[in-house]
Amino acid sequence: MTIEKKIAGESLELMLSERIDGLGANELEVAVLAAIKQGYKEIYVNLAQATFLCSAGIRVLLQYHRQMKSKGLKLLVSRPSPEVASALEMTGFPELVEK
Amino acid sequence: MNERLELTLANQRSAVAQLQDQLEVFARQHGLAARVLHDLQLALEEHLTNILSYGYDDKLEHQIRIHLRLAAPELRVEVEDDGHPFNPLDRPAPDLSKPIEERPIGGLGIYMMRKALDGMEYRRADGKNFLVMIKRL
Repeated sequence: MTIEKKIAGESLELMLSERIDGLGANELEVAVLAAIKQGYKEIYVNLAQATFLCSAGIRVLLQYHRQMKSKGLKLLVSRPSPEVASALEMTGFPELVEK
Repeated sequence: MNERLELTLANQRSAVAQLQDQLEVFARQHGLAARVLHDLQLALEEHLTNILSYGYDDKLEHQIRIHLRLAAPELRVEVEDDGHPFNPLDRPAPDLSKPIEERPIGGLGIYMMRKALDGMEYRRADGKNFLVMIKRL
């Protein structure tokens, strides 16, 4: 998995590619924690190039989605690939996806 | 079509990543549909993560064996490990009807395995777990 970062004002986009496996979930968590520490108000996790998303990855997304939301901030998945969109729908977490 | 692949990996994250790479090569060589590869990789990732996280009390290296058999109309993958007895078929399904804020964060992996696969068979023998994952081609 690789992570690219794109900054637009107070918003950060993390672009993940390939497999978001157990290792990838750890890397994602490190990147999200760094972004929260840096004070971004909106974090978008772009999964257009992700080939799969395991439950550990969903847990990271859900945990920080909740944490950001409780502070009036945002963490959302943007542009999920078909595989990722189906994993999120299958587990009943479509709320994680940017509308 | 009757192809086999046998692999042994250590109980380490990096070994799981290598296995996933090898599956991608196998899928390309045998023209497997992207959906079949995706679902199999997802199920294996979830099962191996559980084995690595909860299978062992000691810090020793353990071997996990993977026997993959491709014989139309299905792909069967057996995972053999010497960790604690663990039958994923016994686990209850998570409650997906609750609102997102009230949902417990754990328990998703086995549910995703069930959804990704067409069947699973489990047996415990000789102090080992054997889980067969069945995926229709």
